[in-house]
Amino acid sequence: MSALELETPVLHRPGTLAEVCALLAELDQPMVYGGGTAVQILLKQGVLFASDLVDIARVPGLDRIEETAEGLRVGAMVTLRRMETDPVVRRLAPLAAQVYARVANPRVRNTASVGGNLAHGDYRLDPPTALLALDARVELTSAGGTRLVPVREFFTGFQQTALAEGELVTAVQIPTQPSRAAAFAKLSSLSVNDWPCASAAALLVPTGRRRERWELRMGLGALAAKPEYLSLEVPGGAALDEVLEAAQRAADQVIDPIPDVRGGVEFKRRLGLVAVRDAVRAAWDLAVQPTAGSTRGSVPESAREEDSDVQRTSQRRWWRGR
Amino acid sequence: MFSGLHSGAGGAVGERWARTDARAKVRGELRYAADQPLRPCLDVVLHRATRPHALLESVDVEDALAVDGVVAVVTGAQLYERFGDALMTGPAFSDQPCLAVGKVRYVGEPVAAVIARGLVPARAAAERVLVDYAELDAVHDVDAAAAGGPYVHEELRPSTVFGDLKHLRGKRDTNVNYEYKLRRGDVAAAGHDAVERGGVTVREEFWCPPTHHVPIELPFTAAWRDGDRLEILSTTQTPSYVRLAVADLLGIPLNAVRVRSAPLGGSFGAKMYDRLEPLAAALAWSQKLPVRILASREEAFLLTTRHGAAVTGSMTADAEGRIVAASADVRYDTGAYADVGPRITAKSGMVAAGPYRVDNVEVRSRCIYTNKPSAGPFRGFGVPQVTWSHESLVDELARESGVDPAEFRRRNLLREGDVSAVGTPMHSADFVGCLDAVTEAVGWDTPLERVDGRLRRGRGVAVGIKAVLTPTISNAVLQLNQDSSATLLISTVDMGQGSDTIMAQIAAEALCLGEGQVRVVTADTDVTPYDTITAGSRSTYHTGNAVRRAAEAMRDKLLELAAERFGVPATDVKLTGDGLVSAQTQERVSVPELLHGHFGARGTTLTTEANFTTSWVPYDHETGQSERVTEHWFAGAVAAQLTVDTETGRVHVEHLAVAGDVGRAINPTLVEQQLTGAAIMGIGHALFDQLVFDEGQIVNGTLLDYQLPSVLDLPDKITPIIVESPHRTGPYGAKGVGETTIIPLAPAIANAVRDAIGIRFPRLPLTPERILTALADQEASK
Amino acid sequence: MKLASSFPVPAARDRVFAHFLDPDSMRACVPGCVELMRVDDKHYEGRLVNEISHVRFSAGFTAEITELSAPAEVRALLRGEDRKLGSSIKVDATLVVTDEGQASSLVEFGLDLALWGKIGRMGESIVRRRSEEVQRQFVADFSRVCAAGPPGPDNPVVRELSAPPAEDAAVSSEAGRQVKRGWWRRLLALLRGRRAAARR
Repeated sequence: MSALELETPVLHRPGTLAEVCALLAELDQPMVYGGGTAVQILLKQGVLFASDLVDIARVPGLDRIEETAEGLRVGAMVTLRRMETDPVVRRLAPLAAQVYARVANPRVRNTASVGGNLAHGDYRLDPPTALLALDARVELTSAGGTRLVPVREFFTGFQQTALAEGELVTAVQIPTQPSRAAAFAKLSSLSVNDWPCASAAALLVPTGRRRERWELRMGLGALAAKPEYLSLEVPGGAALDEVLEAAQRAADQVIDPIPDVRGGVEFKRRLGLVAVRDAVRAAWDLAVQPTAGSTRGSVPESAREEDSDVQRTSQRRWWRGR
Repeated sequence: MFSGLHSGAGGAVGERWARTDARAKVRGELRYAADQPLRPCLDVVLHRATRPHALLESVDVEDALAVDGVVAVVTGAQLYERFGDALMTGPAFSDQPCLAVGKVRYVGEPVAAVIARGLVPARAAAERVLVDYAELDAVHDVDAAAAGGPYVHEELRPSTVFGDLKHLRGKRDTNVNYEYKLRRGDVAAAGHDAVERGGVTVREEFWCPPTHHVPIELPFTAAWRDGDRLEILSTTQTPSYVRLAVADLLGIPLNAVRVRSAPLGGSFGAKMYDRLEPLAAALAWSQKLPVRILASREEAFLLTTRHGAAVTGSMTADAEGRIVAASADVRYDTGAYADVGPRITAKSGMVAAGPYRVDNVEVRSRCIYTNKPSAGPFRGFGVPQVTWSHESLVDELARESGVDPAEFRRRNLLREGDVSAVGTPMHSADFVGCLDAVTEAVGWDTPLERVDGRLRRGRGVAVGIKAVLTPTISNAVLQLNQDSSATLLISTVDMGQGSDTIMAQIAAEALCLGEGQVRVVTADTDVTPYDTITAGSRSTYHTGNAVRRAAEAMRDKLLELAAERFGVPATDVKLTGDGLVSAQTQERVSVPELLHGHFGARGTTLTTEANFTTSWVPYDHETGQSERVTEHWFAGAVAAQLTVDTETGRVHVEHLAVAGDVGRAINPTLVEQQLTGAAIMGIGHALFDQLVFDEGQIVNGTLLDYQLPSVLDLPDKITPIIVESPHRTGPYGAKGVGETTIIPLAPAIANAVRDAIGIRFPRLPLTPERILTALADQEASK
Repeated sequence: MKLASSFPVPAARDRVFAHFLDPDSMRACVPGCVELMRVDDKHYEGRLVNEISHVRFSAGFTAEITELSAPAEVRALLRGEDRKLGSSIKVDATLVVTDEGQASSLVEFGLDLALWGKIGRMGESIVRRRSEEVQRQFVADFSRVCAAGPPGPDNPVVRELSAPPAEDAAVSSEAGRQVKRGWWRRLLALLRGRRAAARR
């Protein structure tokens, strides 16, 4: 038995995108290594079967955030933490900044990458909820070239994405957020820090010739086999309760939870509807508010505060209360 | 009477000295066991069972041996051939082989050990061990196991160490390996009587799921032969026990086994008794190879767990609100190996009626084998599981009786001098003081805004009692160096509780030494003397007493030496922070001068040693009664104010007040940290922390799925409160504190949830799903 | 873990039942089943490959028919083991076929599933989800197989499904890219490719 057969994946650290693509094309079972937060766990558990790991950290340019005519172009190796804190992201796509800020914990966010997060394809990821509502596109690159896939078509099934063999995520293009009326709700059932049981991002975009209606766009996480997107039209003069009712009805159609240690189907469905209500309510409050708030800063006040998990709004103090 | 309390004048006890290891810890400089420099060791990786209960038809190691870098592959059969029945180890029952012999009893049980140069070939080879199983029916449910077969063990094998288990030897066709019974008065008659006269009875089926300790530092053991001696470095809370267990296993004298521990990165009971040590010892000894075993996080889940427990409990109060009868039928799921389960069963059975004056008590507490990983000691030693029952029951009883739950408890709590249900009188266990402190802290009697949007607010309280492990033995050796620094040799293991700091404080007190002047040597059985265990909150009292005695003996020696030097009687000499002084002549001498003068050399040491041993009267086998079942009691109370989100089912604790009677706080900061740390761990147990099994498989045995409280799960405010009712024989009145607040934590939370939404939850944890489902049922039944 | 469901099949009960006991039909229909042979009337042996959440397993398995009342009900105990992954699986499967008219039957099944070892740590959500997909694919293929004729070498759908993957790999060209095949077909192709490479 040779040492090679011991099946520790071989680590490659190519310096250019062309080399990455060449490796992905020619290797037997390659896996792209981004921030490593998912891959390392599988490796440690001894359950990852990849012949090669292709680390893309050395490829120049992948860690860039650029302002474009339409909005933002975010390189695959940009960390989640930068999405949370970068002033350009906070100005142009505050909903994205808000959602990225809620992924896992600061240690993970400091390491995990925007591209790897999407490629992981898990149904419980937070960022897709915002990217779906914002109509982002994913740049996929292979030896054959680059193609753009709308994020709304990127997630194809349970832990499956549109990534073809030999392809990697190189960037995400996020259009400038068309309205400040946006909010995110995330509910977990075990520790606060756990994977969500339900998450919802809501964005209200004015439509119609006289902007007399709203398009309510929602991205849902953890509530079906993949991140789900839905949108509906809401009359401008609608009462909040009508909006909530319509949003719930629409969401109920796509919610199809997977039972596990975090809860059963019925519980997750109920929680999903709470997340939808909370996100939509917070977004609606912003939509109908006078616009004065927009001068307050790059991130709307509410984008930092509204948070369906009501308990979190209470100020936390370290335990030494005496 | 309180002779110990005032003898020290050194200004060390009661001070908030900084942890001796704080700086090294925050700088990442502290060396844990796996960080210690060692001779080169081979790596051991285990091949584990994929069946919950099966006979081993064959274990084929040929392919594994063929892997490059593999030095040996060892099976249980080989070890059994070498060591015979000595291979079966355990603190109460000799039932556990370090590698399965003939049969596997839980999914993940070690079947073969690969010894290789490096982890990569070791892991690859472990995958290549081929095992053929003949599957047996398995038993996973504790009540099914108690009722009959399949039987996990053919016959019971109590260890030779405990005489009181002798009658169980060779017992067949049972999964119940131990039963503790407590009988006092007549529960049925008293209950009937009380109800006849307007009293109330409440009863319920309770369940506490198994949980895991999840110490951040993973278990590690290295072992190697040094001629005809064996050396072990291990993450263990019980170095003295491990030395004995390994000496017994290998059939060599105690002085041929050296066990070293290291500062532990958390343990909570996970690293004591037989963990990786018997395996490492058997491999190193039989193969004559230096080996090291580092458990992975996933393997750590298989090493030991907290007992899942079912409790059928009832309580009766008379019309005046006095508890007149209590009963509990407790079933502990101890998994495939008894470990210390029988001790847990008895220790918790004693207090299953709670810290109350109850004349009629009936407890049956059983330890039951199932085909799961072995359950063992866990912070609280089984008592949180029975407290879950009695503190839920007493709360309902108060409500049924129309009395405020805190006031109801206050009327019934045991007080100084009262005789507990087990027959032992109470001393230094101020339950009322703890209850008053926590209720006052949360503003128990102030108005509560009950409805807050979709939130419902409530308050709850619970009280806990536990007996300290008795009898046990501690020793201390103290060396006073000529420069007046001191070196303290004890086998207590610092695992984050701060024992190195407070033992130094106790030693310093009698000798008037300052912060940093006493160094505590890390446990090493070649150097440090026997100590039963570092567990069960026993070290402050027991080892602390040995240390105090050694320090006082040292002080007396110094007084004698000074008296000689001054030419005065020893009673005339006083030890102060500046040295020794004669009251008569006002002559002074510093410690360095005194010792230099005495020995005629610099760098010399003066040595004293002391022993502290506690005794008990074993409890009666039929009634569980003993006039002296324990050396002392732990008393604690928790009060919580929280909200329940009626839409998400999530509980959020706004204020948690936790109190423990510690006798005397040697170091108030460390006491507060223990009160607080145990409470946070308890929050996890109350709300979401649990091991989930399916057909014997742990389905959430990774940190992706096993949830612990994070900083975001903390209450808005935690108030730790130190209650001090000095113990007559405690070192400066002190007792331990490590478990005190975890014991009543979960029921305090559940009682507050009951207060908020009017629903009693008999099963832990109180997950949002359980709460939301119950709220929906409540709505439906309106 | 218990899984249960039912589905209609466009064929008479006798034929449906016969397909269930036919190793060739089952190999063709069970996603990831790469080998299956009948040892005797009551025993089958085979190999199943699957991929769950980046984890691939390849398990040899045996099936023992514990109760049989043709053409209505069959109960079987399946045991599989992936030694490399340190995992084993036990399935107590019950299958009931009822007549629903001339060329139509209803299949009801219940699985009592035990997963032990590393695979058991993957989490119920992942296993349930994957088994749903497996089921969906099985139902689709099985319905076609039953509709196409009785079991045996002449069943065209069995032949089609059992054909080497290169032929059915759906290498349809779309903008010059290879469209993704189903996950188990990819896996099959990969394993067969490796085996072929090993022979070379």
